[in-house]
Formats: sequence, structure tokens, C-alpha cells
Amino acid sequence: MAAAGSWWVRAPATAAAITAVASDQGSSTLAISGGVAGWYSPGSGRFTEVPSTRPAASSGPLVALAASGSLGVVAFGSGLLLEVRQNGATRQLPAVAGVPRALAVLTGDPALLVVASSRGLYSGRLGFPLRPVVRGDGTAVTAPPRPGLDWLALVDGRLWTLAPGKSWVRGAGAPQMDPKTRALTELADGSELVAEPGGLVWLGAQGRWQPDFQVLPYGGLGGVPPITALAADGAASAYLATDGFGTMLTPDGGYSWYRAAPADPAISALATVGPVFAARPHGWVVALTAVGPFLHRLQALPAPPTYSPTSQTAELAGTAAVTLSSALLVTLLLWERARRRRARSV
Amino acid sequence: MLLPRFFGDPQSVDPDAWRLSAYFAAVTAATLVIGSLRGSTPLCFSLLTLTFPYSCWIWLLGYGGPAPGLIGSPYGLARNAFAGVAWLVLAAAMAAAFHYLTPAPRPRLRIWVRPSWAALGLAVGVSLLFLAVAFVLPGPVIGREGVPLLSLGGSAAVAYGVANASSAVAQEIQFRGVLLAALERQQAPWVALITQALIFGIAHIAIPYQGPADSLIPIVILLGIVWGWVTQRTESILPAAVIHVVAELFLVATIVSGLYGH
Repeated sequence: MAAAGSWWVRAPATAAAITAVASDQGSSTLAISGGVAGWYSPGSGRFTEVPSTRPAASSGPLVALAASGSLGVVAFGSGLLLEVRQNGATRQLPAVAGVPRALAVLTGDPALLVVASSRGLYSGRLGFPLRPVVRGDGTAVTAPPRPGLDWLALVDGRLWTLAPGKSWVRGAGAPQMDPKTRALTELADGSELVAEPGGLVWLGAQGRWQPDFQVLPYGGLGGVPPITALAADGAASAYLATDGFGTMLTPDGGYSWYRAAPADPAISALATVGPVFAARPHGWVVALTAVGPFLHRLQALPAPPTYSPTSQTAELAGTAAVTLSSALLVTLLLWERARRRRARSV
Repeated sequence: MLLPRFFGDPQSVDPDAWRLSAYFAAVTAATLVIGSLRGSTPLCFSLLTLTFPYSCWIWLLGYGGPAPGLIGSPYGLARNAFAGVAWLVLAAAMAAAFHYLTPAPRPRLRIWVRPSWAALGLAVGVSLLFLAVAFVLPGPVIGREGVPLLSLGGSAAVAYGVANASSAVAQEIQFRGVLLAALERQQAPWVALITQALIFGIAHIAIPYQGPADSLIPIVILLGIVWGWVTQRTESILPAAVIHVVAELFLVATIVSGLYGH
């Protein structure tokens, strides 16, 4: 598995101040740079600021964001929500109680919005007051990666799910997670990955949950590097971000994990923009670090060389000749050494 | 040892490195045929003992398709385990041949069990020391970053356990058993100890390791010295085999995926 090691590049200077990026399937997505939200295209490095998202004293800072196609939503510390369109249009949405921690939005008719805040989980149609689902400390929420799959959310370390056409319910069979868990994602095959801050990654599929991956201590008294994000890509791939070991990649639904680290190993956030594995041109993985974003994109592998039977036969003969010549040479050297020893002893 | 490898194999006409085995088989045969070279037979045969089981192992792994690595179907897992056991059986058979066919005085292979508190203490103590050092080193340096719990559960754990424990014991028979014994017939014990460790490291360059794992070669040589010293000290390869099995399982569980994803 030739993973990502040397394929990470520093993002252009125009994106150096980005501190948060939303995962999305398009070529651009919503991001926060210098405290203001805007549309960010990793391919060009362009960040187009949306001035109306500049925080006011009453709104508090931007704390969360989500994107789905040309639609985006940003949340302020006061609970204020703002709809942001890629054409620059914005609209204020009904606020939620508490400090928003995570958002998920999905275009459609109607578009749906789910917010996990410090007061609980809120869900409803975009533009309408959101209905409280459960009280508690909401930490994560994710939209279904394809139609027919569930919405997922974490409140007080418990998983909640929303199936199409149904109501929110507790996730069947899901274990009690660390209440601070924020890394949650869903693969397009319907399996779910949750990573606790202590380094344990859980994999759930059809109500059956099992430990999937454990991050090890950094070394010495360093402790386990905190897991900061999970980002799914397609049916089987996901990237795991850590504050110390960089990123890790599973290409096979959590069965195996590989180092896929950029130059800076302290990753504060991670997002996939466009399908990274599935289609061409490939999408991007954006890893945010203290020295700016790093970008990763899969590249086509070179085609294997083709050899003619004649050249293969020639190499086989050459290999045999070198092997026999080597053996003959060593035998002669041994024989010469033995002859000299005999001569010395005589 | 590296001589046949200087002629590269870009078209993969010899993926199992049979040329290494053929090379040492030819040299060993020459020492048997030419009377004046008989003194070199043990060393040449010991080098053949290193390469022939290895070629067979690679051939068995590749039989029916590429080796699965960490992503394994049940068939691939079973094939891994079978190849590991076959390597062990071949190494043991060649060690027995080495023991009975080399001229007197017979070399000390140190394969037989010699239960003693010193051997047990060294096996457990050095294994714990190995794990402690490995965990103290920064994870990214040696690729120790996480444990893929899912792929190490159930039948996969048994298959990998059998495959890697077998190959670890086979390597102890080959290097600390046969090779060290052959070298000790011609060199002082400490020279033989260093030489076998260097050959242990060179073998890992010459044979299976490529790319990022090359950085492990100095560690491999150091481990060769430690395991050789433990073997000489206890007059048995068993403590070294125990430590090697622990190291091998640790390597597979926590390092291989990190290194090869780099």
C-alpha cells in the first residue's frame, strides 16, 4: 500500500490562516480563515470570504460549520446560525440554545440541518426552528454520505441515529463513549467509525460494534496523542487525524490502518473535499496544523512495464551465469586460501 | 552473500531468490568434492541453511498469488501460517543435517532444551526490556503508532501468531544455531558473535527488507548481537527464540503497517 507520505504539500499562502474546514463532496467547501467564513477551493488555493459571517460582539466567534454542495451553515458561540450560499447570499436561521459544537447539513427538498450544542441535539428543516431531540452535551453530528443511510450524533458520549422517515433513537448496540468524543464519521457502505480522545477507534456495522484501532503512546511519558478528527471517503476509506502522529488511513473499512502523515504531525482538524479515492480527478484531504494546512491528493500510479519473452529469457540466462560465476569465483578463492595454508604448514 | 544480488531482477525472473540458494549449494558442493576445501563445508552449508528455507518460504507465500500482507483473506492467512511452519521445519531439518554430516568435532547447535533459571530469567527479562525500549522510543521513529485491533482479532491473530512465531524460531535455528556454531569452529566466540549479527543484518538487506524498513537494519544487527550473546551465555537458543517471538509479534502488531504506509 503506497500511502500518502510524500504526497502531502503545503497549501498556498492564501490559505495559511484557515483554522476549520467542512468536509464536502464538491471541489470547494466552507472554511474559516482569520475568524471569518468563506468558500475555499483546495485545488486553486482560493479563499473567498463571506463578509457577513464576520463575528459581532453579540454573536461570539465562529465555532462550527458544515457544507453540502453550494449550501453552507456557520454557527457562532452565542448559538446564532447563518445560512451561507456559494453565490454569496446569506440568511439568518433560528438560533439554538447553548454553544454549537458541530453541525451537519444536507441539501434536498427539504434541506435538513442538525446541530449538536452544549445543551443537546437539535434537528429540523433548514430555515425553520430546530426541534430539540435530547438534552445533554452534544459533541458531534454527521450527515448521511448517501441517500438511505442514517444521520449520526453523539450526546454525552451516547450515539443517536436518525433513519430516513423516522425519529431520532439511541444507536442500537453502540457502547458508551467518552463524553468528550468529537470524532465521528460514516462510510458510504453504512458502517460507522467513532474515535475516542483516548485513542480507541470503534467500528459499528448494522448494530454490531467492536474495537477497531488503538493509537499507542507517543513514547516515554508522552501519553497517547489525542484523536482530533475522522473524515470518511466513499464506501471503505477514512482518514484519522491525531495531535502527534499525523494522519492514518484505512482503505478497507477499518480492517487495516496505515501511516499517511504530512510533514507536521500535530493535526488539529481534517476534512475531505470531493471524493479522494473514488473518482478522477481525485478530491483533496485537508489537514490543518499550527503551520497552516497541508493538502493530500491521490495520484495515478505508473503502469507496470511490459517485457518481451526474449528479454526475460536473456535475464534468466544472465542470472544463472552470474550465480554460477559467483560460486566458481568463491570456490577458487577458497581453494587458493587452502593451498596457501598447506604451503605455509609445509 | 550479496554477490548474486548485484545482478538485479527487474523482470522478476527469480522472485523467490533461488539464485542465492543455488549459489550456496554450488559452493557447498564444491567444498564437499574438493578434499582440500572440507574445512569450509560447515560455514558454506550454514549459509545454505539460511537461504534455502527462505526461498521455499517466499515460494509458498507467492504460490497462488501475491502475499496478502496485513489485508488477508482466510485463504491468505492460512497460507501465511503454512509457509511459516514450512520454513521452521526446513530450517530444523537442515540443522539436523548440519549436525550429523559435518566432520567431528560436532558443532554446538544449542537447540536442545536446557531448563535453567538463568535461561528463563534472560528470556523474560530481555523480552520485557525490548518492549520497554520500544515503547520509550518515539512512535514515529520506528513506525509504532497504533494497533489494528480488528485485523488482529480471531483467526487472523492465530494465523499471524503461528506464521511469525514459526519464522522467529526458524531464524534462531539458522543464525544462532547453525551459523553461530559454524563460525565458532573458525573464530573466537566474540568474533563469531559479531559476525553472525552482521550476517543477520546483511541477510535482512539482501533478502526481504526494502524501502522504509532499511532504517531497521542497525536495530536488526543490535538484536542479532543480543540474541547471540544470550544464546552463548545460556548454551541454548530457546531464550533467544522466546525474545525473538515477542519481538516479531510486536513488530507485526504495531510497526509493519506504520512503516509501509510511510
